[in-house]
Parts: sequence; structure tokens; C-alpha cells
Amino acid sequence: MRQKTLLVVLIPMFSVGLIIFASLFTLEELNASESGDATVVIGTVTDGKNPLAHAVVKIATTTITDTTDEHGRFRLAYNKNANGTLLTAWKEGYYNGGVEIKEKNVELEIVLTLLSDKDNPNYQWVDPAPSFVLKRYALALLNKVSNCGDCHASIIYEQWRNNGHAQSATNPRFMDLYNGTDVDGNAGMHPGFRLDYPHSNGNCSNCHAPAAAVRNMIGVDMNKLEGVEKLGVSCDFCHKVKDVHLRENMSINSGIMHMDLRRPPENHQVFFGPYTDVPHPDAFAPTISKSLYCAPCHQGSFWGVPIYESYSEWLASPYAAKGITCQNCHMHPDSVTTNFAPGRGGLERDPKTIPSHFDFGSRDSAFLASSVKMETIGKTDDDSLRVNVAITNTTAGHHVPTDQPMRNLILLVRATTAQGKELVYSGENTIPYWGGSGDPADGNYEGLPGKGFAKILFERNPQYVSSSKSELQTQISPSPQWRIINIQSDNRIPALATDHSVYNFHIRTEDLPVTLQTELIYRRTFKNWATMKKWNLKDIVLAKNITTIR
Amino acid sequence: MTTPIQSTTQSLQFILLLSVLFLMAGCGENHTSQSGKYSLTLPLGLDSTAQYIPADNPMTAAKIELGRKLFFDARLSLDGTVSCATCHNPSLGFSDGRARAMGIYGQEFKRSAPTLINRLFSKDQFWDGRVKSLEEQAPQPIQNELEMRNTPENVERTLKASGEYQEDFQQVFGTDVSMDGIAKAIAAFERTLVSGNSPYDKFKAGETTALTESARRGLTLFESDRVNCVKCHTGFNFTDEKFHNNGTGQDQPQPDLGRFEQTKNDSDRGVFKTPTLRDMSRTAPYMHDGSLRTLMDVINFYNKGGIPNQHLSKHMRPLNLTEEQRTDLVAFLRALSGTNTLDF
Repeated sequence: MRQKTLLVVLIPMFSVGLIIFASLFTLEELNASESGDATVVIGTVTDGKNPLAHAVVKIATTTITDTTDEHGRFRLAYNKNANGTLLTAWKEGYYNGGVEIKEKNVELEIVLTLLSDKDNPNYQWVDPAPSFVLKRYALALLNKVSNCGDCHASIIYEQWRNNGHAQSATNPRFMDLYNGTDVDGNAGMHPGFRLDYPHSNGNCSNCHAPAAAVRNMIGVDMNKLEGVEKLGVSCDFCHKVKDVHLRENMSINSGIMHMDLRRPPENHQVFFGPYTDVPHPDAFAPTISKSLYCAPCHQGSFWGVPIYESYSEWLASPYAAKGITCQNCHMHPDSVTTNFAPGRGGLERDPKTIPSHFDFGSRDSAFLASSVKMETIGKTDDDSLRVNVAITNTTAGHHVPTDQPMRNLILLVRATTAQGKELVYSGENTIPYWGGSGDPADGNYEGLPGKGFAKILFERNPQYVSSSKSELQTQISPSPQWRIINIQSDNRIPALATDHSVYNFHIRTEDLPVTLQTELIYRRTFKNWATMKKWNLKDIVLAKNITTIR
Repeated sequence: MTTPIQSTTQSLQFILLLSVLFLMAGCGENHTSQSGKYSLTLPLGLDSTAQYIPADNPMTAAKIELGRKLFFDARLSLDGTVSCATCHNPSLGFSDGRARAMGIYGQEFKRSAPTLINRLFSKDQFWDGRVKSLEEQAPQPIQNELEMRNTPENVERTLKASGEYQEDFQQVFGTDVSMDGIAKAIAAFERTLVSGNSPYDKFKAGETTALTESARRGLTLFESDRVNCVKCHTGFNFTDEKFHNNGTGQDQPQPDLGRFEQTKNDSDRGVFKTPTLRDMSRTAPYMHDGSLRTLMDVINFYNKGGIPNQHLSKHMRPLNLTEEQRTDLVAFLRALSGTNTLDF
């Protein structure tokens, strides 16, 4: 009997012991087989001498991060096969640093290099174009890396080179406004900055040619740009802006004057960007992903009057509080690109983390059309047809239209019988003079039923052009922003707001059925300006409603 | 060459001929006579004996022309967008139509741009009289941060580089482009900006129909002991060129104390220079801060005795004028607008 009791006790004890003993081995094995090769890596981030606290440590391209403690120490658990082996670190004031993890459970040290704390005014801007584009075939053949496009040609350079930023210094319509020329190059054609101020370069370069404006913030002659300066807002320029601090007076201070440029000293290089995990010579700049980064050029005043207000319009919108930035929409990842330097050492990344450099804006019809929604309701009442149009700014993070005040929307309302006869309009809302006067077939819509949306500037004083015979400036309406102006009216539609307007027509029973057509078009400039300049600009249709009234 | 003078008669005839030539040269429109002196023809109503032209800056046609060129030249400002004419706009009574002037980059400052009309008859310049001549006034806006934001060195360099001024400066001053010359030329030009031959002037000269009934009653009130505008707005140019406190702006927090900021004399607290009343209908809004929009606002302001403050002029007191009387005064003020051709 005793032996049996003993066994009853011992066997379970032994089994439990066996299980416990086995688990010590197999648990680890089980883990390993489930997650491949789970590893813990620990180490210190230093500047070469002293540890750096509060440095952000990351396994490159992942979201596996840690922040170093007071002693500069970090600890990360990662998967070698799934996550790669590049360990990176960053701290404010330093370049990004990185080190390859070569062995398991090894203590690593990541050394960060200090950034220069001064801007170098003698820095030579790097050209964005790939060497083969610049016909530097020798360099291309030798696979030498000297320009942005040598590594970033297929993705970023291609996206950028047709967008507004690349053309800001050479856009022919901009130059026509600057020089006072028309599309054929004839001089003396208003509006023209140089016609109004023949002895001033203006401060246009502070935003339109910032790589040149660094030479002279009072203003560089836009006709005398050299080299990379002609490429407008190019790669090297943005990626040398470390931070932005908006200065108070936005008439005196514009564009580059709000930016903290940090061009590297000789024989050094630095690129500021949105990643902490691209090692030296890159450095993380937190502001680059914030709307504030765009504000220096997309917010500005002339003669004390706010002209460019995209940033403040966004700030006042619900999007700012929600943390939806300019970049979220205008540099939205294309969800397809996974590597922005393929074959050149670029790492594969989650496509959602790669911003597009297309910078969609006023030249992209689909993008513009997606910003608004229009609803038209026509109701007959006795002998009148009452048309209600509601236009909602559904998707833009700012007013529609925004930025340059010459941008405008025109709403056209047409009511025609089956025979094509226009109904008689008895309403008050008509398209203003800046919708163009003349043949409607040429896009001149002044006086037609409808509405115009724009910020309209008018001149306060007649001004004297500097000349030896006192000469008053030619009056231009709407006035260009560089004259001494006031805002006469501003009926643009804020983010998520709806504009309602009403149009009344005379209608008789015999007119029915009537086709009611409303069309909202976007124009990059006022029709009367386009006519003066002989610009041939297409109207972009944002919305169109066609209803039949029976 | 010596010509022996045959007789006294011949020499007398010669002298007579020369005198006639000199006299002929002295008559007619503004021009430079044989002696090189420019004589400004003043319109009706202005007293030529009251002109002030400093001895070291005589008027010549060439200098005035140079001054006019500079007056309209925006290169005097740092970025080439602001000229004297920007704030002293000929179309706006040589002011700018603003309550407070606005300079480079749209910066606004605390006082309004005074008119340049009839400064020929003045010495002190600026609302606070801080300089004693037009020559001393001209360089100040050029260097003021809010106005043209430039430096004399930069102005000289810019004008020299333009190549448009070398010859003029050589001809007028015998020197290269200089800040001193710029100031003198602009001052000379400004002295030609005169306004007269107004309905009031014609009335005073004997044309009894020149003033309307209302304006005539306004004139009587203007000169009366009861209303006594002439106390400060005295003489043919309607200013004593002195400084008074009528209370304008003294009710603001941190008021503009006018001449006090220059002299630090307690009695100068809140005092500003009396401006001319000529051309007032062209230079709204009124007062050093542009706080009064219309002529009626101005009359109402004086009617209530100005704005009470510790240093209010003892000449300010409520006038208790009827609406008709106030309208008459406004009609009179309107009759002071000059009709002479100002061919600048």
C-alpha cells in the first residue's frame, strides 16, 4: 500500500517537474519558430564622448522605436528577417545616425554627429537633375552621385519637375506679370510689376526663387537668375530648411525671411527631411511635416493687406485642430511607391510613409474638382423659376479659391427651353466684370446669371510712376496686389462651408420642359487680365448639374 | 575789345538798352533771368514778401526740374517702391487720402502726411516742427524705417548707378550726386507748389460774386471775435506757423504729445503745428492723426471746444453755433481751394 501512495505522489510531481524542465527549452523554441528570429538589442546613443538622453532610436523603416533614458541607453526587440538590420538614432541638434546590427544580443553604440549651428551663405546649391539629363554623361557612366536626381530620379525628381514649385521662377505667366509683357512678349502690357515700379526688383524672389533670394532679401531681379536658382523651389532648397518661425510683419517679411536655413559648412552636407532613420548626411526636421513649413510662402501681405492666406485659412478651419496638414493632402502618398531611391541604397518602406512630390494644386483638374460639391434645385412658382444653388467646400483644407487673389470661380446658371431659347432672367445675381466682357462664346460671362467667387483688390490711391514727367499709373481692376490696395470684397468659400445663391427666371407653361444647367468653373486668373495678356487658359470645370424642369 | 565811347549820350543809350533788356528778362512767367535768379510768379492772394528761400539754396529752373524728378523717383526708397509722391500725391492735395501715412512694405505710422501746399511761406516742418527748413525735412523720410527705410550712402549709390543724374547734379551743384544736393533740389521743387486764386482770394480782390452767400457768412464768422478761427489760422495762408493744443488725440491711451517729444517743455504737451486751410477740401481726413473725416466734422470738433485735456489751448472753447452757421463755415472753407494751374 505504501508504494502505491508514493507513486501517486511522485508521478505527478515528476510530470510537473518534467513539464517545467521541458518548458524552459521549448518555450524559447516555440517563440523562435513563431516569430522567426526575435532579438533584443540594447545599447547607447552617444555623441562620440558622452551619452545622449532622449534620443529617438528606431529600426529603420519600422515603427519599432525607443527613446534613450538619462544615461543614453535604449532597448528594442525586433525581428531580423522581417524588419531589416539598420538601427538608427536621432536627437535635436544632430544628424541622424545609424549602425548595422551584425550579431544577436550585442551591445551597440550609435554615434551622432553634431549639426553646424550656423547657416553657410557660401554654399553652392545642388542641382536636382540627374547627370544624364544634364548631359554629364561621364559622370552618369561612372555612376557618380552628385545631384539629387542621381539617386532620386525615377520617383521624386519626376514627380517634382512638372509641379508648380519647379516652375515658380520661370512660369511664363508669372514672368508676364512681373515684367508687364503679354504672351507674345510685347512690353508695356499691364498688369506688370516692373511697369508700376520700374526701379524695383520687388521681393517676389523671396518665394518664387528662394535659392536666389538668399543673395539679397530686398529683391533679386527675376530676369537675372543663375543655374539652380531658375529651378524655383527645388529639392536642395527645401531640404536645407531646418525650421520655420513666422515673423510678425508679413509685409516686410516674406518667404525665406521666415525660414531657418541651415546650409552646411564647406566639405559637409546635410539634408533635412521627415525621417529619423536615414543616416548621415540626413537629419530629421520635425517641422517639415507640419503645415507651418508651407506658411512662409503661402501666407503673406502686401502694403499691410493680407494677400496670400492659405495658411491662416487652414488654421481657422476644423482641419488644423484635427492635425490634418497641408502635406496630408498635397503630398499624399501614392500608396504604390515603396522606395524613393531604388537601386541607390534606398530602403523598402510602407508606401503610406512616402509623401508624393507631385504637390497637386491649381493645375490639376481632378484634384480641384474633388474639393467642392454643388447642388442645384429648381422650383417653379407661378410664372417664375427659382433656382437655388448650394456649393460646399467639402474637401479643401482652406478657402476655395485660395492663395493668389487672381484665382476665381465662376458659377454659370443657364435655363433653356427645348428649342434652345434662354429664359428671361429676373434675378439680381450676375457675373461681375472680371468674368470678362464680350462674347460669351469666348468665355466672357459678365452680366450673365451667376456668381463670381474671389478676393477682389482695389487701388486706394492713384499712384505716380517714377518718371521725369509726373505720370499717373493706368488703373487696373481688379488691382494687382503689388499696388497700394484694399480688399474690396471676399466671398470665397471657407473649408466645409456652403455658399447659397438664388437665381430667378421668368417662366411660362409653354417654355416647359426647361433644361437647367449650372456649371462651376475655376479660373487661374481674371478673364479681363487674361485678355489683356492674351493668355489662353482653359477653364477647369469643378462641378456641373443638369436638371430638367417640367 | 575796347570801343571808345564817343559821347555821354551814347553811353547813356547803351545803359538804357541794357536796362530794358534786364527788365524784359525780369517780366513774364517763371524763368531764370540774366542774373540766374528764378522768379516764381505767385497766384492771386499770396504775399510774395512772405516767401522764405534760404540764401544757400536759391531757386533756379534746372534745380527745380531736378527736384521734381527726384520727388517722383521711387529709387530713393530701399526697395524702389516708395517715392515722395507716394505719400504726397499731387492728385490728393499732396497728401495721401489716408488718416495715417503708410510707407514701405505697408507700414503705418502715427501721423498723417501733411500737404506740401504753400510751404514756400514756412520755415518749421513736420507736425512737431522739429526741423527749420524744407532742406532739413527732405532727408528724414528717406531714412525713416517706416517711410523709405534707406541710407544716404545707398541713395547716392543707386542714383549714381542709374546714370540719369550725373549731368543734372553737375549742372546744378557742380558736384556728383549727393544727399545734400537731393535735399536742396527737392526743397526748391516743393517751393513751387503754391495754391491761390481761390474764390476767397477773388472776393478779397473785389469780385463780390466770387463767394456764395453762405461762404460770405462763413467768412464773417471765421474772422469774428466770437469764433476767432483767425487767432491761429491767420494771414493770407491761414496759419500762424505756430504750435497749439486743440486736444486732438489727447483722449487716447498714450497720446501723441506732438512737439513735447522734441522740446520736452511741459507747455508743449499735445501741441501740433497749425496747418494752412487752403486746399482743405482736397486733403481729407483732417488733423495730425486723420481722426476727422469731413470738414463738418472739423467744424463740429471746434464747436464743442476740442477735446479737453490738461494743456488745451486757452483759445479753445465751445462755440454754440447753429447748424446753419456751421454749414456756412464749411462753405467758406471750401472756398479756399486754389484754382491756379499747378504745372509741376
